[in-house]
Amino acid sequence: MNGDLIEIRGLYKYFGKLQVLKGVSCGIKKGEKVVVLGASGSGKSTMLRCMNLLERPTYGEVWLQDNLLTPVDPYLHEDIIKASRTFKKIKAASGKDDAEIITKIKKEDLLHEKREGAEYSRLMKEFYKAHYLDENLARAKIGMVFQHFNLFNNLTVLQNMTLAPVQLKLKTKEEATAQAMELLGKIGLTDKADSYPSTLSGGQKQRIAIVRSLCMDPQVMLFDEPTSALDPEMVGEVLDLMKRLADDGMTMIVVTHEIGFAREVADKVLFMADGVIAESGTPSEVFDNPQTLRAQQFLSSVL
Amino acid sequence: MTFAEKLAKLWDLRGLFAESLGYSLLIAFGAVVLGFIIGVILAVIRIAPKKNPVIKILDGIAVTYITVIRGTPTLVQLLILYSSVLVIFKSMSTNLIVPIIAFGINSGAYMAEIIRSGISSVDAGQMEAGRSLGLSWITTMRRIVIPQAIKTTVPTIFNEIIILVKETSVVSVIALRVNWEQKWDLLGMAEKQGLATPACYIVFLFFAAFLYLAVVMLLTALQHLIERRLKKNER
Repeated sequence: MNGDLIEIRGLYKYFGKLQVLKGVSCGIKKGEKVVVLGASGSGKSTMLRCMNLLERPTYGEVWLQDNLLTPVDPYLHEDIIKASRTFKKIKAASGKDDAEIITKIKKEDLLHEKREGAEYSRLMKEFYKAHYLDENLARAKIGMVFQHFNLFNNLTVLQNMTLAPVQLKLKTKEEATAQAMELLGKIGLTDKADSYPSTLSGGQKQRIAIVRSLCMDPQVMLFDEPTSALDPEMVGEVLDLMKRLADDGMTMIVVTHEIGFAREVADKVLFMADGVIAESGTPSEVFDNPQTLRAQQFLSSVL
Repeated sequence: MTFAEKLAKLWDLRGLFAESLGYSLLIAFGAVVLGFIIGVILAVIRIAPKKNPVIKILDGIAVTYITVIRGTPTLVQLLILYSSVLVIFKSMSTNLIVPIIAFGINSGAYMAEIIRSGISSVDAGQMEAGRSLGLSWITTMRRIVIPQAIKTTVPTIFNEIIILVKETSVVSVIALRVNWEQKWDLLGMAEKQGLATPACYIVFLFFAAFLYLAVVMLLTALQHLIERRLKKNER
């Protein structure tokens, strides 16, 4: 909301009893390149997938500029201090599981709504209506690149790239085809336009997955470990394309283990551990002078 | 009657046999089309995320449908449908609509399970990629997931079609026992003519069996052709 292109506020995510995100907040400005690091199971992929709602946060909000993608979380707008006090009080008194307490606070909040009357819920609804953006419209503006490429196996490379823009009536077929061919030219794969994904190498697949996202003219690109499934000799070509994208001013959030890429490209590095952002700062701050023990241990194991 | 005479008799009846084979194939074809449509719809309902009450109710209906249809004999279903038509319209339908609907409803339940397994076998990443590009769940299903699911299930779907072609012979029971006006299917015709000329009964039955076999072999050839074509599309 405050000038950020994409912002997450107080995200909690539970998979059943397992708590993966424990209150994550961060904002990414237009043109910013953010690299997210962390051990596996630290919640970095889940956080990224919450940003385009492939995973629905249990609590918390996701904002794309002035648009709210999740339901309103009353605690993030008022009573947040009160809520945290209640939380601490219950925690101190009962030592219950965090999830249980939050459910209880939610219930209390409903009582609160009753007490405040119709005006309170009317304002909440109005706030929601003013800011809410349909998830499909939101995703059209947020590009995503997956670890396993996920090219559509039943379509040719060109069809992979033109399907969504044409289907969503953002472009005519001719416009979409022209743009797709231009992008394929930029990555030197024009001759693969009519090939099926099964005939391509991993590096080619991932580069096509990246330009497929670009065909939607996204405002921000999310990368979920884009080089983790690649053979070592193919990592370079994908990272090069990502660097070119960064140079063109694309806003990027990259979950990766490529420390070299992070050092070279990132404006900001987030280090996640145990479902929270344990450390954040410029690459040199985080890599050369990590403050937390967890970050120090992680970095010494990967560097 | 010598064997040559029996064959001559068969040759005399060739027009009737050809006509009845046509009816059998027509019933099977109509039922396959109807069953496939029902199957796809049921499979999509079964696989859809159960987010709102409408989907939950539809899912309940789909589960009940599949359970009941798979749990009762085809002949019983066919007789019930014929009897219902008799009760409601006060007359037996003599055309092929009733058996087509009966077999279509029956096959739909099996097709639903076949296609559902096909959809489950498609990598979840395909749906995620579609959604991440802003496509809706149903569009991604239609354009990406279902085409891939159908491709992997071609052999199983053909298995169902082959079973269906042979199962149309159940209509002969209706023709012989319930509704003499019914258009005669292949087995029904063989039996009817065999009853008229008992000496030829077995010859007619063997001839009917031979025609069923020929149709199934043609279908198998068609299946292999389609499988090869689909494979070539991806190279």
